Amino acid sequence: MTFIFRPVLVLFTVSSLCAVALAQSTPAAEQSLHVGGYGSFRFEGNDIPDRQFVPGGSAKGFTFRRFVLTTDSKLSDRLRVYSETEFERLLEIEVEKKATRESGAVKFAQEVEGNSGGEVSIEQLWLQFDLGGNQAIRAGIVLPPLGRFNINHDDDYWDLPRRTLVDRDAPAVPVKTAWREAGAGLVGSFNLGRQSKVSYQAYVLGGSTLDFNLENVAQTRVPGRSKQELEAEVRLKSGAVDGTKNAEAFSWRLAVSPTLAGEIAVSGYHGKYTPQFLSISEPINSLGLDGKWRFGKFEVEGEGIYSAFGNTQTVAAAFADAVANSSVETSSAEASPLESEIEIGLDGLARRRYGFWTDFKYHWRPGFLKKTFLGKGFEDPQIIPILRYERVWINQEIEELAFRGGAIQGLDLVSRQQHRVTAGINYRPLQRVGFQFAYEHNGRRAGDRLIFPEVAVGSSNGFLMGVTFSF
Amino acid sequence: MRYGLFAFAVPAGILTFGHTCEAQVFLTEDQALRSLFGNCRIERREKALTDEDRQALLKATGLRFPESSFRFLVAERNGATIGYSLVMNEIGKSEPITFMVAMSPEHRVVDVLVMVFRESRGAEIREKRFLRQFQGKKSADPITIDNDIVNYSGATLSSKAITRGVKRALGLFNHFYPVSGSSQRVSPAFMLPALPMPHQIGTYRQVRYMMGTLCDIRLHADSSAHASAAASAAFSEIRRLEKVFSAYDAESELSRVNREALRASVPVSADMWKLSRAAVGYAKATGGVVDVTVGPLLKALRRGDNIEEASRRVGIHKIALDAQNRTVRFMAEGLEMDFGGLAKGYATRRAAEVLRRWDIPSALINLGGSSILTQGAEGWLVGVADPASPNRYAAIISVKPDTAVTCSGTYERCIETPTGLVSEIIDPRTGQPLTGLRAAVAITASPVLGEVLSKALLLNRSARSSAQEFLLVTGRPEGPAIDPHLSRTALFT
Repeated sequence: MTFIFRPVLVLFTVSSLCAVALAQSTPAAEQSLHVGGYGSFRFEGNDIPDRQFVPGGSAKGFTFRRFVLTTDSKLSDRLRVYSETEFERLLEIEVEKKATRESGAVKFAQEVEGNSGGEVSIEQLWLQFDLGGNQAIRAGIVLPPLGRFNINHDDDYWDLPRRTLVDRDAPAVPVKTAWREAGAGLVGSFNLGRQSKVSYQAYVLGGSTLDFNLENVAQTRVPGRSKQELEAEVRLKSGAVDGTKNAEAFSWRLAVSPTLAGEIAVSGYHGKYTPQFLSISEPINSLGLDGKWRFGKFEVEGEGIYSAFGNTQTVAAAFADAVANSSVETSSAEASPLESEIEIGLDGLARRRYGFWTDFKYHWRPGFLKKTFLGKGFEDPQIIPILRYERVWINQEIEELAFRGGAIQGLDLVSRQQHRVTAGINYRPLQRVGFQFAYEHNGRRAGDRLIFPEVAVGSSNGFLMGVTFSF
Repeated sequence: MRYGLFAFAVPAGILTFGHTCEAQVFLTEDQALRSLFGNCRIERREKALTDEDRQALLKATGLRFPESSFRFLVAERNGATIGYSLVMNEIGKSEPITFMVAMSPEHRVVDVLVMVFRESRGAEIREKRFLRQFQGKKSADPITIDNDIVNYSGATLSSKAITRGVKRALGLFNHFYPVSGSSQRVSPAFMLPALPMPHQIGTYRQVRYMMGTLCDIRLHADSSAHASAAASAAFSEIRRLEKVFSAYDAESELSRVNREALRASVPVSADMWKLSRAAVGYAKATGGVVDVTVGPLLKALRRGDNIEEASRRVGIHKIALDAQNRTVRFMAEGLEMDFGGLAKGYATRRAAEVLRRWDIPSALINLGGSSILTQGAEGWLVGVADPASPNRYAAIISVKPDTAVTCSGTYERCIETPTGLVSEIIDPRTGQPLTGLRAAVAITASPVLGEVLSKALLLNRSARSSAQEFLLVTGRPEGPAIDPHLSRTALFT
């Protein structure tokens, strides 16, 4: 984790020093530090057969989705530092290292303890310098403003207990939400007439890149033999923040709000995603269209994302070449009954990914609610019936790649398509707390399996209950 | 690196552009008051809350009032109350948002100004387009999100905080300065808001606080931009005339005339000349019932001074107008002019002329509910408040195009005297205020004439024949149902 924290710490320190220096020349203002956060839990029941492994997760039972701690420090009227630290699907992580002397020799031991998969990450960490007139410079770890979900990803904002396919489970955005990148740019807004407002965000970013995760699997087999499996999973992830990544991406969003009732926005992301060790350059170009509108108590919100990843076969060929020109050394294979296996997976690399989602909501505040145990004592309790329809297309995804001597021998490309319909109710005793109930139907429209949950069935149905909160 | 240069190139452009935009600033209490009421005297009145008060407020508003006290800021000019305001602190997400709610003597919200915003998100609610929604609201309105207030998306908690604060402020205002019976200071709605005709749904509307009251303009236009520009031009004209005719502004032309006209003939502007000449003519025509020199009598009533002595300083014949040089001269000491409703009527007519120049096909201009003028090709519906129950209609009038509807009532504005509240409408002939719950509505071609006739109708019933059509409403209507089209005269006594 050092490679993440060191540059962040440097950035934070430099930003803070600059902010303090600048604050001294601005008029006195109320300084403040707010510590807040949000989180969510979910229970899911579905008709996926028992014991079926679901990559990416959609298991029956309870899920601790995430807990995010936020800090917001206003150093002066014009300087602000904001951070979000996320604990996702994780209860504990414990690292133990020790070096001991035993029987005349030194023994080094390193132990990692924890429960099943999860992560601790910094979702946002930026400094904002207000220029006046509603314009500001923002720099640090920021959220690329492609679409509206990524920049409004707080769980308590939403009324359903699962994030959208487009932004999370079958991402049409380059990196699933919460997608963050190191960068700097401008945010602001200006009024047009008495009612209209235009707001924008534009950042130069390090940019998403194909990155790898190493998975080490120890497997017992027949007595006396074991297998060690090393799997390198290569997928698009947020770019490195350790100073090894050039600024190779640009993301923007332009929103027009003709009235208070809503806004419509266009957005984009343009960058190079191939890592330097591949010595090729392939672009991502994403476009988004999103909006939200209120008609009294009725509300419509939606987003559409289209992402093109250039010539993915070139990327696959470059991988084949890179792997063939490298070597793996092991001395254990012949000396002991330990079988070693190395796999490389290109996860989710497709030529195009696109999709949309739309939410239809009604903010219902029945008079009787405050008289029942549900709403008694709350100022503005509301029940929100919601219907979400979403659909995702993945075109020419690399399913399987076989190569020999750096040349591609076989390449299986698949195209998949899925829709999801979710009908739910969210009870909000407070704006910041939601009790969510939803029925979810996933349907395969093309391909041999669902995109999410990734199982070889034509459809799946589930019932979800969730709790979201912020403070 | 190809985007690297862009990162530095763009901020320079925005820096230049940014300064042309409206800046979001925090306001002190004094700045907020100046912005709302201009130069005026502010009286701070502390109101402690007892448990009984809290219960009554909870019942009236459905909201809690845990505070121990509130401080009303009462704005006054020349002894007359022109507005009330409260500084509210409402929790947004975790921090209080400090804002000022200004209310008119008619118990309607004049404006809301955010003074201090401490939350990390939701600062958008400081924007005018959000706060403007509260203008004209009264305690009887729902004032709730998704009902008559549009939530600011992404700033829901802050939107709710402001909405709650405005509702609480109106509740406090009604509680400590109640509107009821004859002791009321001011009726909440003298003439109820005009209703659009069925085919006029979607009409553009703007409300601003001018001439000591809420000015409401509704109009039809090709687009919101056209409507906005036309309404802004009309409001600018009203604001300009306020600077001419305001008796409360020491810098106004009228104040200058009142100060200097005794010593010498004062040259006046075209607007001042027209209205002064008209006022002299109307005073003579009504036998002195409508007299713009009545100011000394009002002052004497407020102070409890001798009325007879004050009466000697009143009289339109003590004003000399020189048409050739367009000057005004006072012929007696202590004389003062106060155009009151006549100025409103004049401003209404001028605003209509502005809208006509902007090619607005149909419009309704409503100054404080007492002076209404329709303009253009289509008619409008105007509701007349029942004096006994101001939230009810005593009549709904279908008003033809280019017609003025003017209302005068004993409960429109009151003045505080040593013996209690009395109507601001006084009979210049006796120096006594009019008593009882009475209102008169005049329907005329000219709003200035309407102002004259509606007052004359109250004070001198012989004037009835001068109006095209008129309606006299008292507290206890016992007569037949009002003909909605007023094809004949209807009288309630």
